[in-house]
Amino acid sequence: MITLLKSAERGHSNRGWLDSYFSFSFADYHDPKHMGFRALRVINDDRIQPGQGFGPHAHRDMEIITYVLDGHLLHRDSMGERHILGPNEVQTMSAGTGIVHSEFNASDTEEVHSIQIWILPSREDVTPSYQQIAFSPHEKQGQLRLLAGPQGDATIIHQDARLYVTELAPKQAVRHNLAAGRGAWVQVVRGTASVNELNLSEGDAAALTEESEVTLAGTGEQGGEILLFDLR
Amino acid sequence: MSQPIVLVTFSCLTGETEKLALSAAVGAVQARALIRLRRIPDVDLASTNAEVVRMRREYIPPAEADVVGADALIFAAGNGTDALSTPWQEFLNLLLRLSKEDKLGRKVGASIGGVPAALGGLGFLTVTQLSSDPLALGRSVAEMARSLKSS
Repeated sequence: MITLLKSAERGHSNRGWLDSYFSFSFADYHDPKHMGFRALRVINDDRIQPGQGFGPHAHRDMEIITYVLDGHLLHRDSMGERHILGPNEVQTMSAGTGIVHSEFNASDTEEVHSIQIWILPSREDVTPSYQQIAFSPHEKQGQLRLLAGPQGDATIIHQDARLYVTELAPKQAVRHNLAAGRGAWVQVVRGTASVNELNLSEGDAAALTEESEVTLAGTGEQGGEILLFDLR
Repeated sequence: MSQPIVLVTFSCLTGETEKLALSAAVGAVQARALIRLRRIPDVDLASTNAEVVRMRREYIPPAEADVVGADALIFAAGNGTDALSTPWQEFLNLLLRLSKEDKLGRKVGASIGGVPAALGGLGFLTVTQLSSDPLALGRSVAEMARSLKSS
């Protein structure tokens, strides 16, 4: 079964410095029908104005993954980590017992377009940690590049969930097998694509349950960039 | 039961007291409190010190709603910016007014650094210096606030 969430059905907030679309309930946007998908709790599609950002705030017991599409984000946290995150990198913060961090657009001239993802951990009170890895853009072109998972060449999260990214040219396709009982969330973050032959535009998403495979393909004139979550 | 809210207010010109404030905030989060971090505004607005510029950008000053909405307050004053110094005066005046209006009586107050003398007369239910470790202090304050909230 495939359930679509069109881009326009997402929650939306524009505070001037921050323009966000919420796939699931977040902050002032609350929709009981959209509270998450399995362990996936948050997908926020954020555009942050130059020099602006989120001041220090706390998290507890959450796996927080940030993926930047355009621009650069400056991360600082209570563990003393200070990093700049850009395209073709992924950052994962395990909040565990507690962490305070800030995220600001590192540039005074260019906007940041980033996706922030929260995944519920399989256990509470883990030791807080920060990871950031970079990869070659080729690794996501025409294939799935693992960004986060419980193991592998990726940032490690405390949950039986895997997050992949792929960039697909028109008519280019990738296939991912889903083990029995697992579900998938597909989020088109740039351009257009299809999932199991259903067309999706930028910002659209699809939830797949009781499916044995996910076939993603680039569509339109430019193709698209897609996040794929494989969830228990 | 709802989580206690801990307001951590600090003054800092170097980033050092900010670390103590962050540590206290993490302690409060460890004790499953919600936290608000606020920085006392600078007197010297002309400073171009990179840390000061960053902190000005990242933090907002404490407001009345922050104090009224908090179950506990932690104060951290940096070197040279003790509780009676100019940067803190406006905030302390706010606390004094709220104290006279009997709006601080059910709140926990605690401090890191040079603020405690000024806290004594403000009517906090408990003024604590439970530990020199800001992480442990934050945890204790949050636990105390939770206990008061549920009593």
